[in-house]
Amino acid sequence: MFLFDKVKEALTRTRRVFSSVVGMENIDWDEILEKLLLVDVGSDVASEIVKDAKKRWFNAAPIEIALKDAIEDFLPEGKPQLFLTEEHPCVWLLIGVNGSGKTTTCAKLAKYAIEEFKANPILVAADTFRAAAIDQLKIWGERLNLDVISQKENSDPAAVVFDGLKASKSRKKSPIIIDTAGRLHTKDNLMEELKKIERVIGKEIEGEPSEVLLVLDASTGYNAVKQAEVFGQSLKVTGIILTKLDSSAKGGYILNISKKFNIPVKFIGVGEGIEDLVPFDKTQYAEGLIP
Amino acid sequence: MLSDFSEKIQGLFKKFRGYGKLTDKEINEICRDIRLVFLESDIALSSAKKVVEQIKTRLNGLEFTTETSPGTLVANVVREELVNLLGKSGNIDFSDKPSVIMMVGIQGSGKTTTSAKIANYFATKENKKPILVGADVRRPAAQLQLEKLAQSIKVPFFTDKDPFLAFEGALKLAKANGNDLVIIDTAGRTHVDEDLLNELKLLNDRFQPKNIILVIDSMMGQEATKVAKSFFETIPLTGAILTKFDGDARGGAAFSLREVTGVPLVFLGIGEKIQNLEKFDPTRVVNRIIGMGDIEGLMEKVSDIKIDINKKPPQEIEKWNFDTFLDSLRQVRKMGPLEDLLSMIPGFSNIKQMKDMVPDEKQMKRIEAVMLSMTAKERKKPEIIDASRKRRISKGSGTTIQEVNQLLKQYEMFKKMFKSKNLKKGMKLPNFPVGRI
Repeated sequence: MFLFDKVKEALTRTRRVFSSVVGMENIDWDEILEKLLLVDVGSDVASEIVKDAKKRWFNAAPIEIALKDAIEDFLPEGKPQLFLTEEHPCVWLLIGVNGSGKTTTCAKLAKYAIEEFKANPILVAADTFRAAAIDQLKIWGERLNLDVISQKENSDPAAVVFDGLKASKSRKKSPIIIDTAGRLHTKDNLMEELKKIERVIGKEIEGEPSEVLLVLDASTGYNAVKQAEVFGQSLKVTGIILTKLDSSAKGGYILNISKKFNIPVKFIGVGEGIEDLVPFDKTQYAEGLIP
Repeated sequence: MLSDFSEKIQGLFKKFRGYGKLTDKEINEICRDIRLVFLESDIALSSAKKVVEQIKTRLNGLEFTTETSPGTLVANVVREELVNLLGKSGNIDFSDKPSVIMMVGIQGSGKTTTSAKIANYFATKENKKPILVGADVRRPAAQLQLEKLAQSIKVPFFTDKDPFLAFEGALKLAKANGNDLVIIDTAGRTHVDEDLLNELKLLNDRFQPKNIILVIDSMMGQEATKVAKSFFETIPLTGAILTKFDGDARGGAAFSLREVTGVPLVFLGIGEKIQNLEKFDPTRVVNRIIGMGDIEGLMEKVSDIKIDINKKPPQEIEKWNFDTFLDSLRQVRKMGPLEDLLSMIPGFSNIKQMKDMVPDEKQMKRIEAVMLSMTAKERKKPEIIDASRKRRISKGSGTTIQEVNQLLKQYEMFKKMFKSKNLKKGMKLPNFPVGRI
């Protein structure tokens, strides 16, 4: 399958990093540690992985299997899923720092919802800050033939969200996919703005948003762990979408996030095309880190 | 800014501050810790190793006297090596007429916003006449984004349906209209995208821009060096800009960039607003990183805005009232968010508890609203505010009576504090006595 190849190709670039490790008679554990650091795994988790892999290797596991299993152990069990029910409209809220890829991911998620759930999604352009962010989402809406709810630039994002929820009810659309403005997690006032959006959603539809998805750029370094921490403190983050995996970056920090905050990675972005969003597969990911 | 990095490094220094002398074992231990901090700060592995080796060599040759603690000495060595690693800041070459700056980088690094910031910087600070060119024909609405930004800073904008036509047309237009600076915003591309890298190469071959600036996200991890390398091997980069530096990323990318490619940093992006761009200065960055504050940056900020020096706060406590307070508050707010200003003050980043004491922009607005809802008489003589006046003020400002009370209480406390005998003569009044309301 074409898409599978693409994921595989995306991950082979990491694989190359590790290729010298395989089949080594005398294993240089320091080198393995360094290789983990090079794909942005935090040093504490990296040393734990090495320790664990060592144990497995002593128990006669081949080194690549030992490493793969050690890595996989850091990721939560089970297949990640997005919540969608026919009983009431569901809200998927996308958040993240500037430039992580939220707007594009919104469009990709809409496409996914149509194909996978046969759903009728609606897009809400609540990024009222960045110039032309609304137009960017509208262009995607046109391409996908979907309604995009928006107001003028610089209007109150919570008000746009409110409009979006009303519109989705009258037009019987679900999921409601909300694009928010990128914000650095260090800006308290902007984090408050997100909380307000969450409150507006909860008031309008009880129990929503069902998904709060944190969009993280795979090429980010250890700061991503901090992002997950602070966004997670402000909102109930239900999952991570790891974007830009089609470059050579691998976002090894998700192991640290998973260990510390137990937030699962739900999707990975592997390209600029609308189909280039695939569910996260932990075995595949772990295998991607080693040959 | 970069507080995480400074916390870490400072924590490290605390560990050996107070040792009388460093033994080989201690030096090894320190170097291991520094290396770990560097790696967790996303400094490239190769650069981290190199700089730690240098630090080690210098620590071995250090002689410790009783006057300076080893901690301070080590701190100085680390600071100097980090400054060395960052290198001197780069410049924009204006020898061509018009001069061209081509902006390149991966998606989401901030090219479009930074293009507009650079146009604004040279238009306001160096009297240039820039033109912004949207050559990103890939991302939906990217051209529109740049056009809107151009409008907001009143700079002409040009685009066309492909990057070559846009480039060519812009150069013609600049010559015809007397624009001396052409800033080209190209499409974001991953450093493994051969087609787009090739497009850059062709653009460069054809137009030979004197300035090619790589835009890099300061949150970037180990990937930064690969990105820089791959762009550097494709086209002759002349400089780099580190964006989103106002977050708490440790900015290791800044350190590896220069080391790996030799390309100097030119600017830093330090906020979402169009003015939030500053010239890169290695000493300032390193000092800010390891918690020395950034007085120069603060002074620059103060001189950038026109503060009316005749409106100094009164020296005598009798003249203090909400009128003078409102004036001071407004002057300070002109300089930008309070937390940004405070982070520039040396030592401030060390005091964690202070973080809660700083009112954010929203609270400042509320305080201002409360004061604006007072009558002129009430502002001059807050003592006359009774329960009924308080009710009116709280209604008028959209706050609660408690908030009004709190501000009044703080005003009282402040007056008392400065009336007390303990206050030394000659001590100046702080500009504004705000706390959390």
